[in-house]
Amino acid sequence: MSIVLTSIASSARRSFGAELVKLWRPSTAVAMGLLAALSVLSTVLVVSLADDGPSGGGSGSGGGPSGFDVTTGQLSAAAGIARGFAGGSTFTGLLIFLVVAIAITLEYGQGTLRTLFLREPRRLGWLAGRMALTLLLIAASLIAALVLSVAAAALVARIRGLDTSAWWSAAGTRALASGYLNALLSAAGFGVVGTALGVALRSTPLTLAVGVAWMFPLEHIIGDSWSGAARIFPGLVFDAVSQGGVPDARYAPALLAGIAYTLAAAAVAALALARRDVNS
Amino acid sequence: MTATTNEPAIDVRGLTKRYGRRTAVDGLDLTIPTGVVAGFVGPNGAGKTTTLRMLLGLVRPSGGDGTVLGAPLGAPAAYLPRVGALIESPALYPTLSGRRNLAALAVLAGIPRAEVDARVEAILDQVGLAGRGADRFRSYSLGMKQRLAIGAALLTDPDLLVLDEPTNGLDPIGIREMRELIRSLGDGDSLGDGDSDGSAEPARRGRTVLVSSHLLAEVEQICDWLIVVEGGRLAYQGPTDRLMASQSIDVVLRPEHPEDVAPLADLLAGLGLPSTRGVDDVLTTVNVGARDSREYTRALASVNRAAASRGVTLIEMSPRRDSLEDRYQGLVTQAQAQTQEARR
Repeated sequence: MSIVLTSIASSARRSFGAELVKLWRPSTAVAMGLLAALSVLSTVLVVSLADDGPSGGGSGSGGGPSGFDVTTGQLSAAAGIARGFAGGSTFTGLLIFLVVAIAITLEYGQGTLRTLFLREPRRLGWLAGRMALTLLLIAASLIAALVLSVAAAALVARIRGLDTSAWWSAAGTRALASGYLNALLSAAGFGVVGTALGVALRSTPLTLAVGVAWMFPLEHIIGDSWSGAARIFPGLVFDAVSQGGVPDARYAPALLAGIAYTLAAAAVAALALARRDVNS
Repeated sequence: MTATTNEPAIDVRGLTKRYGRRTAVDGLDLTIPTGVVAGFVGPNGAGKTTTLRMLLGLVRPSGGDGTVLGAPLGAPAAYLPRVGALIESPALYPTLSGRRNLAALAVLAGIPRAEVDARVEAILDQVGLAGRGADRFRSYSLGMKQRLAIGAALLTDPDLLVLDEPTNGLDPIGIREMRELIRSLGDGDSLGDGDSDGSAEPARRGRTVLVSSHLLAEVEQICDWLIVVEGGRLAYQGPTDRLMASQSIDVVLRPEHPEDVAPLADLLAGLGLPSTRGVDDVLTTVNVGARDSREYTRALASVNRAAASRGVTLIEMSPRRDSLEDRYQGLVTQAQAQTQEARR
């Protein structure tokens, strides 16, 4: 058993290194740039469109994504510093899902997966290394997006004349850290589900059609008429995690459900990759 | 790294792959000696690529077992580090440079980081892409892409090189370059005396190369071992020259005077060599009974002496051998007939 684990770990290490070499291409910069741009855009929208009101309002009753439904009172609180960043989590989640799903299905479409498996036949190790690098890249991209988001939020808040003094307190830092951690957990979930769906379906159009159609419009449409959807459907669950909980799904149950979805998706990806023939 | 034993590079029995009710590869027994350049031929859909994929761990066999480079077929991780392969079209990352493509694969193969750059440069040089290493893969011509993919296969200096249709889509110059490259890969690390001298034993070399191709002329020029498959079954395997030596050799005889054709035919009949009269007053004998080139020369000399003793002067004695394509066609037709017979 320990020999197998050692072998997988060694394979994962090599896979991580190889994926790191592959990162130096334009698509990586484009994806990271888009993530940052989406985060900044959502921040600008959240801060500039916030309704005047006290800190207790805006609890998702506005019809739009709950992260966008905030008041100036909420923005001025210490946690306001992370509101814009969290508000865009649905979009960053969608982007991460798209990028990861496209990347893995292109490995099938371009035939590069067989080239990789000829050099590294321990498929689980390869998958582990690739996922580790993907998560690291997501983490780094989110840090960059967070920094830009805070800068954009401060700028727009100044233009709107909002009081942001509470942002720069210890509570503000804690809100920022927890906002980042939640966004990271959510993005990791989207990334792993995107990988699993791509490995299972092996086709870029099919993966995007199934994944995007289900996790984004369909889940949200069902969620509008059934509050339980936010606690059960993966896309909504990851959304709830990224925002630290929403009215229809508290944080702790959403986190548990999100972790369960992520582990299940990882298991599906591992099983499909290890068992199925590579014919492309 | 070179092979050091006389164990076959590939030795598998009953290799089978079924997709639902369709059998793509049907109980294939393959033995490929270490050090040969082996040609793997068969019509489209004969099961060549599926067989190669099974040997390379990409496709799980439905049945059969054996060894590749001495390691069990079911444990590709044990032998793939010593195998380089190009399966179907060259599949590398279009937006990465040739150099970075190779570097990624070198790291994945476990080549120490400190050695990656030197190894990549050596490979680029070997496949003639030293000046284009910084260019993106997608900017390469098909021939360059093929060469880079072969370079990727050579990264670990493999004992066994598997190339699936490496000349596909190449122009004549590209095909010639590829042929020379494959020949040089097979010739590298010479362990023995090199060229085949017409005997049944294949030339012994350090690296085993298995080349799948539908271009028989290419196979004939570069391969000393031949495997023919049809309908997922083995039709022939063995030295290429044994296959060619086992055929009948027609000989065309042309006497100086057309009126000598009939006496010459009687003379040949007396020697037990049947003949037919062709157009332009030539005779074609069927099978002079030679098993190799030396016997063939002796047989021709006997015929010539006999003709001269009867006062018949021959102005042409030319062999008309089957080409590899003729032999291949015969094998495939025979295999197809056996398959149909088995189905009945």
